[in-house]
Amino acid sequence: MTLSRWFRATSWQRLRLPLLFTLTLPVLALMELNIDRLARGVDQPLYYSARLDEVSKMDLEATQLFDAASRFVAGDAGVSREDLTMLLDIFWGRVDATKTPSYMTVLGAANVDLNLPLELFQALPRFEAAVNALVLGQPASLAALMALKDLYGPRLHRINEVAWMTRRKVVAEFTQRNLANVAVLRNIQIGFAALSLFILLYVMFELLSARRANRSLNTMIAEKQVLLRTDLLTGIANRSAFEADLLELCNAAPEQGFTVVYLDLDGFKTVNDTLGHAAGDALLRYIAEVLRAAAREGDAVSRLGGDEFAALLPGPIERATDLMAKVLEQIGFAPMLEPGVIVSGSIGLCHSSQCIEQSKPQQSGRLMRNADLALYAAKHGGRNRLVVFSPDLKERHDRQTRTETLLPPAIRAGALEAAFQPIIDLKAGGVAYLEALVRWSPPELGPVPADQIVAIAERAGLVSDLTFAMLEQAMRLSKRIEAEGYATPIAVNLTPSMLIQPDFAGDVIAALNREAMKPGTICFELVEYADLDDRGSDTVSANLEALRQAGIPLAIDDFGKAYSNVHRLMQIEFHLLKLDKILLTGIGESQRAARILHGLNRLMEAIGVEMVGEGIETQAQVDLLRNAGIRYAQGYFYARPMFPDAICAFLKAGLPAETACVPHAGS
Amino acid sequence: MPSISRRLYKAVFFCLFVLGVAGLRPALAETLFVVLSADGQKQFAVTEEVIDKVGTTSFKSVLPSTDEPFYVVRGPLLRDIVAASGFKGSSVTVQAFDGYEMDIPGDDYMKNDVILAIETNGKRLTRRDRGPAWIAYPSVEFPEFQGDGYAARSVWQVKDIIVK
Repeated sequence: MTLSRWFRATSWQRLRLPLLFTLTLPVLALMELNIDRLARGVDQPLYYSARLDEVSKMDLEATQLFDAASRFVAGDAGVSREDLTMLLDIFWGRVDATKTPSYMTVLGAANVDLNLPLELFQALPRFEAAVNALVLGQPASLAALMALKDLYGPRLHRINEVAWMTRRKVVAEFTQRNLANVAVLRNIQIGFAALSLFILLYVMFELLSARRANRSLNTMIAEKQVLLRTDLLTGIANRSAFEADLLELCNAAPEQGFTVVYLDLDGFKTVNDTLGHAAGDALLRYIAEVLRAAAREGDAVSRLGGDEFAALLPGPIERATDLMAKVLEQIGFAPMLEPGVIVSGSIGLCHSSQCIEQSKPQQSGRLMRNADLALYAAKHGGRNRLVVFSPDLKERHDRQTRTETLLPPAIRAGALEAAFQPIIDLKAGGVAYLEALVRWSPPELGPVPADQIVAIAERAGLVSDLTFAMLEQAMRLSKRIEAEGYATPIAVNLTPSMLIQPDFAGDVIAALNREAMKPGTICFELVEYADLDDRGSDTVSANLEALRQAGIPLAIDDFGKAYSNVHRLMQIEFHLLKLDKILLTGIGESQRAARILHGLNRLMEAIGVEMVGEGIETQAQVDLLRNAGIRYAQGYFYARPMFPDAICAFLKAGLPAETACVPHAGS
Repeated sequence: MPSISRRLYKAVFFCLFVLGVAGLRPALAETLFVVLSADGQKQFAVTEEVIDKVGTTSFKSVLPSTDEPFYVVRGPLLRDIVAASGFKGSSVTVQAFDGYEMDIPGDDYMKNDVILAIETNGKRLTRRDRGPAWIAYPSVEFPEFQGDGYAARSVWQVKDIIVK
């Protein structure tokens, strides 16, 4: 609303009520005046009329007296002296009344013979005497009364006529005034009706505008409410909406329960860095759209912020896992991604049946924590997967946290140990070489798996420390068994992240020289990772070349476990290929698998590379290797990893006939 | 009888009659006015004796059509007279000797001290003074009784009271 419009609206509102008063007050005043006029007019006509009636009556009563007297003296038996007295008294009373001021006023107004009533009053004793003088049956006795009649009779008649005329005029005036009053009343009625109508219209107008204002206010509030709940970038719900919805679901406690889902994007930062923030935003909107499309009535999807999404899916856990599995697939097909930029999702789920808490807010908090733990497990379990919460996840998470806390100092303190597992030469018998494997078993945690140690070390940036610590221990053992007269090589595990470091090869060679290690006593086993990409390929090649020139043999570890970059393999010069145990378990029994292994061996032999079978636990697997012509075997079937003290004993004790350890004469 | 004694007899009777009429008014047994039942069949004569029995009230009253602003009136209460008559009714119609007639609603005389004034300013009312009884309202104490409506009900020369 512009400023001027606001101002106009306010002024009009301010004026409305005063305007109303200004209009109604005059109308009310006018009506009040009319009513007043009406009231005043009512009394007076009655007043005049009554007095005039009585003046007329006086003439009549006088006439009655004269008539009765006449009849009396004529001998009429119907008239008694008492009757005469009565008539005289009535006339007397009438004259007495008529002479009083109130009658005088009326008569004065009628412009009449004002003296008559007083004269009559003074003449009353003469009337009385005249009546007393009457004798029954004697007409002569009437004389005195007749004299009075002659004297006052005409005047009485005259006054009667005037009174009658005046009364008629007054009545006429009264009627006129009544009619006028009716008109006034009608005006008042119209005035009131108009006023009422006006007020009614005004009130309705006010009501309607209030209602309209209310409605627009409600709309604004509703819009605001929606905004508060919406994530502005993607248009789906935001964190506060998610938390509110979750609490609501906890309270509603639907029959089949519901699943809390957390979804994190893996590699989102890469997208922002390589493709720009516009692409990043577009990706987020795409994910939101995927979620929204997958959601059904009653589901809620939201973006918590950054690359974190959440969903609330009523129903059993299976429904949620199915749905999110489909979502995971779709994430990979994001259109704004260029080839080479890979984005996946890590998803953690927890079902409401897995948290039964006393209070609903507690349940909601616990569900979120558990889903978060599951998400963490998904991320650390390799990403691009979904993990459902299980109670041990918390323990594992706690354990993981503790390991991550305790390991780096342990590495730095050199507290990690190495165990060594022999690789057996199937053809020549005896130990071909030893593989150094990291061992760490702190009292708080117990034995920690090697791959976890390596993963944590990677994240902590301590792989170098770890590798060199292992190298130290390998060299120490080498010296020790050399003293016993054995020249068994020892292999140390290498991660690609080491190869990316420019001075890696130099440091290794320097360490070996420091200990005056003979060439070939120490070698490396390299694991292929998918994320060994082309970025540091020059450094990698340089390192590998330096190692090759220093005469340090190289083995490729865990071949067949993940996808192999054959192109890369062709660039590395390696001496040994270690087959991951996955190739030799289960499927190992099939004819086709055996033939592939055989072919693979022939292939490797052609380039002078021998193969090692890992994870050999059964005779059948040994036979499989032999049939394929694979020379080396490593596994529990032959020996477990051992600490240095045990190694010497192992080497001395020898092996079953086929695998006799052949000591080399010290060199 | 000889005509002289007959004349004498007439004169004596006439004088007695005049005296009787003129002198002995008001006699104790003389009726001032009459209370009638609604159908007119029954009547109750109000005499001096009746008035003495029911008792009188006095107050100041503004009487219509008089010279003075107000008068001190005395007389029996109208409701007492009606009660004494024994006739049942919710209003009365008062008729005067000169033919005037007016209704007085029950509320007037039951709730207020409306009297039949037989005396004003200490002087007994005669017919010529517009007595012997005059309906009077306590209009000095209660000025609302000074209106024209009440003036119309202040019937003078009361002849009959019909209880309806």
